[in-house]
Amino acid sequence: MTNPSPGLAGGDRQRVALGRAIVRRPKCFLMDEPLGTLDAEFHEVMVHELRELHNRIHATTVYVTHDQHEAMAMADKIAVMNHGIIEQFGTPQEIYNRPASMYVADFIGSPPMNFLKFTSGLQKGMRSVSVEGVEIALPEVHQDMAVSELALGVRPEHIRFNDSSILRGSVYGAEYLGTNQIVAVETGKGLLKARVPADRTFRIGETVGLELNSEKLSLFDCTSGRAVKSSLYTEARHG
Amino acid sequence: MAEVSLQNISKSFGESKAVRNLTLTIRDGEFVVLLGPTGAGKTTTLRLIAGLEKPDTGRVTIGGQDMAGAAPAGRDVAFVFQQYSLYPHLTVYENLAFPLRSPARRLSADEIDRRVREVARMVRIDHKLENRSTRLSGGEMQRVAIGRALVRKPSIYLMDEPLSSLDAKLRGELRLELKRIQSELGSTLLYVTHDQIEAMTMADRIGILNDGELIQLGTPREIYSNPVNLHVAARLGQPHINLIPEGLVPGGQPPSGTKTIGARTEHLEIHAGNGTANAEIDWIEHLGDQSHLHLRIAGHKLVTLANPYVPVKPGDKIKLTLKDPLYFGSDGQRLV
Repeated sequence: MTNPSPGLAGGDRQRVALGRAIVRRPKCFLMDEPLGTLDAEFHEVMVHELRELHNRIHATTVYVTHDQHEAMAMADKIAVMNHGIIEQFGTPQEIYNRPASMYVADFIGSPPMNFLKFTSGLQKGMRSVSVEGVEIALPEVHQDMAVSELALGVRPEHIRFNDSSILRGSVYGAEYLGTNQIVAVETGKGLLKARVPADRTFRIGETVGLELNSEKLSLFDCTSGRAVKSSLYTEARHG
Repeated sequence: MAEVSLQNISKSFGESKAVRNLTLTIRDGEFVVLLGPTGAGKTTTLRLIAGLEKPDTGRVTIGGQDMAGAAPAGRDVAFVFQQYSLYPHLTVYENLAFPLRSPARRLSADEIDRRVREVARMVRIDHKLENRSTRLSGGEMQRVAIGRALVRKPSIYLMDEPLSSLDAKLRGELRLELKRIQSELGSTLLYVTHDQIEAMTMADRIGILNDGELIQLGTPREIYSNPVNLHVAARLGQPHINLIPEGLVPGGQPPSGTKTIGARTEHLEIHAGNGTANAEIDWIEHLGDQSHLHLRIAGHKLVTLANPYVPVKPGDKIKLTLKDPLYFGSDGQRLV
């Protein structure tokens, strides 16, 4: 308590700065990347401390960061900004599960959402699309669209390995993370990253079949970058 | 490429012991990551191999040859530093070609051109070969710095946190690329970092360094599943391993002498409370692909991963049990 502040470690100094903001009991906290300078291990501790502090004192807080993980871990609601415009404003789950644009889908998530680009028209009521001759089921499409460049968006954890699937690729690399692993697969549509349990080991070059979780797929119009309306997105508005 | 071996190396700077009796062999073609906090002796270890520091005791051998008398230039190592150091007046191409133009190498212009273009493709900077190095983003500069090491074919690459100054997305991409390039080239590589993700995802073997001492050496899976002590257990895993006193959570079969239990997500089972609840959901971090459940049990806080669709909410009472956790004695050593 009586230490002069230059004698403190980085984390403690940032704690002092936060404490100094809190003692004033202001109406609103404005925080500008307060954790940006901390190393990885301590960073996680401080993210938890900050959110627990908020759970106790419930002060209105606006926090800006370029770190999507901080935003997801701490926010009640996130505004994803791009060139001065809010691309989407919603809870972390909404933004993650139903990204409004390709920009949001790519910015949030680590690794980010995978995109499989293809060209097709869309009619209301469609329940599947054809990507490279492979029919892929998806949430019911709620909008008509002339033939255009589209992208199917799939989160890494919504890809499963299934040798009988027609969608195939070869393993480019695997990243072991303890509880799970990220496997990068080279396909005709580019590199796809899947998050799967760590118990199976993969060989580089090994051929694998990929199965996508149909209920969780997003579809984007590549020209505007906006999400195509589908039952996945309308459910959100009603429920 | 060659095997590099450190035998009983110690190095002090004044009163402080930077490296203590370090013995480590990096096999030919192996990717070894030394993981430890700032001040653990990681950078000093690299500098000792490169010949930028002289050990107080012990021996460094490269390809079986004792390096005791060898100057840095005679050791055939390539060093990538944390802060990229490019020649600002040269183009990307010239920066990459520079190490090959040393008079000692006598490479033909065609051979230099071929190597520069090959490596530029590997590190994905081939579209900017004619740019001045000062006109690049931070990520591009670091790719050139890595590329400049790769154009040579040294006995060993020494890399000192080369990705730490890059943003998260680029770091993720380069991790995958670097591991792939290394296995394609069959390079021997010693990489130091304080980032557990880099260590887990790239290493063939990880060495856990603390206070100048090598605490454990093993594959990422060995280090994660079978840590020798509490210190190692706490270095790997996200969320952080829960370290709780013996007796707090039921389940498991602690051997006698157990003081602390290490419980990762895979060691914790959550059941519906139904009158037998012993824990409460404090709050939930929704990370999208998965959630971190923050639990409270008898005044202790635990964090565990959960599928984001698990139907729990803050305030819910649950029953928490252990399944084959890690056991540690009062000295912090693992008990099996």
